[in-house]
Formats: sequence, C-alpha cells, structure tokens
Amino acid sequence: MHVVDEHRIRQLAGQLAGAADEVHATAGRLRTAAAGLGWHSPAGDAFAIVLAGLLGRSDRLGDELAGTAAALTAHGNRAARHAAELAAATGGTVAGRAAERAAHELLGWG
Amino acid sequence: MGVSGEVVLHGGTGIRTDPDRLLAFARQLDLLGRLVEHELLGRLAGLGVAPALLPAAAVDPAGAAQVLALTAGCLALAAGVLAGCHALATALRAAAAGYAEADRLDRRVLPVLRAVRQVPAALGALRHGEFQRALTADPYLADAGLDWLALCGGTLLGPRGVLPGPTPGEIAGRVAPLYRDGRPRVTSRPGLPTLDARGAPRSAGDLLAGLALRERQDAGGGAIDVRLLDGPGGRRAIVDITGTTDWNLDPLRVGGQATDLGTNLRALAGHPSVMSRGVTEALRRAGVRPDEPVMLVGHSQGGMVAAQLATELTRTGEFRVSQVVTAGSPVGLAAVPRSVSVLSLENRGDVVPELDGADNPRTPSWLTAQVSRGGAGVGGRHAVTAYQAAARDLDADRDPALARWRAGARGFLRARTVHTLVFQVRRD
Repeated sequence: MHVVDEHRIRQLAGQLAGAADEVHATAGRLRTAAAGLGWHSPAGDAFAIVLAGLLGRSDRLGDELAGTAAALTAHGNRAARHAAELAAATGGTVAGRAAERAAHELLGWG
Repeated sequence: MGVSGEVVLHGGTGIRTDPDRLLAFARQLDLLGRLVEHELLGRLAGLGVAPALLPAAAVDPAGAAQVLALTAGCLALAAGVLAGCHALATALRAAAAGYAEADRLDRRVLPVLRAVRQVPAALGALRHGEFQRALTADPYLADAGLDWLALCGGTLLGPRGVLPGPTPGEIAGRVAPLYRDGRPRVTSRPGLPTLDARGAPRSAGDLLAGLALRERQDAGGGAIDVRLLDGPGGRRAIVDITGTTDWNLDPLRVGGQATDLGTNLRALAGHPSVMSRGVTEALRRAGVRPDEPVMLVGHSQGGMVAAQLATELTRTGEFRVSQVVTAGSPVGLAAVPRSVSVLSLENRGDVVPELDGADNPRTPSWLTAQVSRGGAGVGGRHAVTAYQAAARDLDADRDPALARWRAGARGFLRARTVHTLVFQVRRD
C-alpha cells in the first residue's frame, strides 16, 4: 500500500506551476497592452501608476505560486522517500497503517 | 460608446485617448481577475485539505507546514490582485464612457444647445471641435471635470426629449457611489479675512462679494463662512459655500478635498454629501438655533450643495433655511420646497448651469435671473467675480420679480451687525 500519493502531489504542484505561468503571461500581456494604450492625461498618468502596482503584485503572485509549486514537489518527494524508508524498515503494510494513523491524529481526522 | 476607433482629442491640455482601447484594456484586466478568481482562489484554498497531502504531512510535517504557509501567502496576494483588477477595470470603464460622451457632446449637442438657448453670440466662437478645448482651458473644467460634464452631456437635453436616456441626475446617482464620500472634518479658520469691517450685507452684490472673497481665499478648498447677523428681526445666518476645487476623475484618488467631483455627483443626484454634512456641522458649531432663518449662498458646486441642503434641512427641521442664492449652478433638478425662496443667477455663455439638462422650476418661490457679465470664454463667464458684477447689476434693476425677492430677503439685508465665522470642511 502506498500511503503517500506522490503522483497526485506532483499533479497538484504542476497545476500551481501552470497557474504561475499563466499569471506571469497575463501580467506580461497587460504590460505590453498598457504601453500602447495611448492615454495621455492626468487621469491616465494616475491610472498608469496604479496599474504598475497591480502588475507588480501579479508578478509577485506568479513567483510565489511557482515557489509554492516547487515546495510542494519537494515535500511530496521527501514524504515518499520517508514512507519508503519506513516501509523498508518495518514492512509496508505496518508503515502504511502507522502513517495513516499519524495523519489522522495530526490533522484531526476520524 | 458610439466613437469606435476614434481618438478623442481634448484640445489645449494635450489630453489624448481612445475609449475603445480603454475598454479593451478593461476586458484584459477582467481576464486576469477571472484567472485569479476562478482558477486560483479555489485551488489554493483546497490545497490545505487535499486528501493526497494528509499522509504526506504525517511523514514530512515540516515540509507540509512550509507548503501551507506559502499557500496562505499566495491567497493573500491573489485576493489583492483580484480586488485591484475589479477596481481598475471599473475606473477604466467610467473613464472610457466619459471620454466617449465628451466626443458625442462635442459633435452632437453643441448645435442643439445653441438653438435652444438662442445665444449664438455667446457660443458662436465655439465651432465644431472647439467645445472641449474651451472647456478644458477653463480652470473650473479641467481634464476630469470635462469627463463629468461628458457623463451628463450624452443626455444634456434628455428631459426635453432631444436625446433619449436617463437624466443627468440619474447618471450622477449611478456614478456617485464609485467615489468614497467619507465623513466631514470641520475646523475653524479664524485667520482668514472677512468683509465684517464693511458692515452687514445690504444687497445681492454684497452677498456675492462675501462669497467671492471666500472663494479667493479658501485655505486650499472647502472653506465656508457662517455670517451671523443681528437686526430688527432677530438673529439670522448666511452661509457662503464655495465651488469645486478638485475634479478627480479617478475614484481611487479620492482624498481629503471635500469640494471634489464626488460631491458634485451627489449634489446633482440630490443626495447628501460630505460637504453638505460639513455645512450642517458648521451651523451647529456657530450656535445657530433651529428657529433662526438661514440663507445659503453658493457658487457652482456650492449652489448645488445649497439647494440639496435646503431640501434636506427642511425635511429634518434641524435648521430653518428660508433663502437660497445660487450663482452658476446646475440646480434645475433640485426639489427645493416652496417654503424656501430661491434666487438663481445664470450668466449667458456659462455652460455650467446647463449641465443638469433642466430648466429651473418656474414657481413663485424660485426666481432665475439671466445675467450677462464677465470676459470671453467659459472660464470668464463662470467665474464668481462675473457673478459678483452681475449681482450688482441686479441691485440696480427695478424689475418687479427682483423687488419681490428683495422684499423676501429683507431680514438678511437689514441687519445691524455681522460677525463671520470661517470654517473649513475636509474629508476624513
């Protein structure tokens, strides 16, 4: 029995990484479009400043999402390795049950 | 929008934009907002309870804690980006609508306005394409002010059936909530000059002189006078309310200035504003009693606030407004009760009183005086000094309607003493 679903965790991390790419790409498209907006007025200048702040936050969101995806992948790998080591030492079934029990206690399940 | 692909040029100020491009950009902002709202928020929120992560957390709790902390950070950032997208897209759509309507106003409404008003001499210099230029060259109607005018302009003559659509008051009521109203902060400004040394006012010209002084020396905006009068008929108060000082189009840029675009929109819609509440607070601070007659005198936005406030205070009964004098104010939509006498001065060539698209009510309690004073251009015709000169003209006029107004305002124009308290209203 595999208690740590490494494949599923990678899948979740992949979704986050994809979202990070999409946020970066959308912010980039907005930046390009803003350059050609041609809004020359005091209101336009104020808008440009606010937009720059928003796009900066969007970029940071993309970076943070990518970082979270990487951390999730590393966590999945580590957890799978620990589980395998535990299985090798005590036998898969026992390790699986122990891990499940630990998970339930740790996270308030059951 | 009606101006697809067309670039709007706002004359001498160098303002240039294309409403369609602004709208397209708003749609792109929507895409980012949708990505965050539909793709990210749910996914991030679900990550902490994903079944696949629970066994992993049991064998690598430190790694799980790190992932959850990072996820919480992403959620906070995503919420901020989502709010920013919505706010900016809304502001952009409002701006695009304003510019587009400005263009429509320039091309379609000006000829109608000329015909209706039959003052080609006053507006004749404003040929096609020059209307916006004239307005934007005007200190009272700068960039953002033009956009406000434009929001009303598409239906400038709507109530007369020339153009269909909602009334400017209805439009103003829809747009006003975009601008934060806030709470008034009323402070005493004893250092500002007054006309007390000249004695109590004796005429319409004196009333406008006090207002003009306050507008010239307004401590950076939002200054008002409460002139306390004592005379044969007991104590009375005259309140001078100045005009717009900040035409802030951008709803995200609402600051401490109470005499701004948001107050204009609220007054046009007939709603209370930070400025009207500030004037009420100033009356309280001045110690005016509920039974003492009050005259509200306002230029431009100040007149709009005065008309709205007269309506409201009559309803609440907190103060007894018996007279309103407006100069260059669009007050035709104001539902001022007939117990209040209104004198509205409207200068030929000043388009600001036209912004509501409605004639002032023709009732025994409301006198509209068409005057002609001031220099060339919209700015010169709208200036408070032009109205001050026009009020002097009215003082010399023997018209029976003006005589009736003078008789009604007699109590305010025959006081023995005057003591002026100056306040400033800011937005908190």
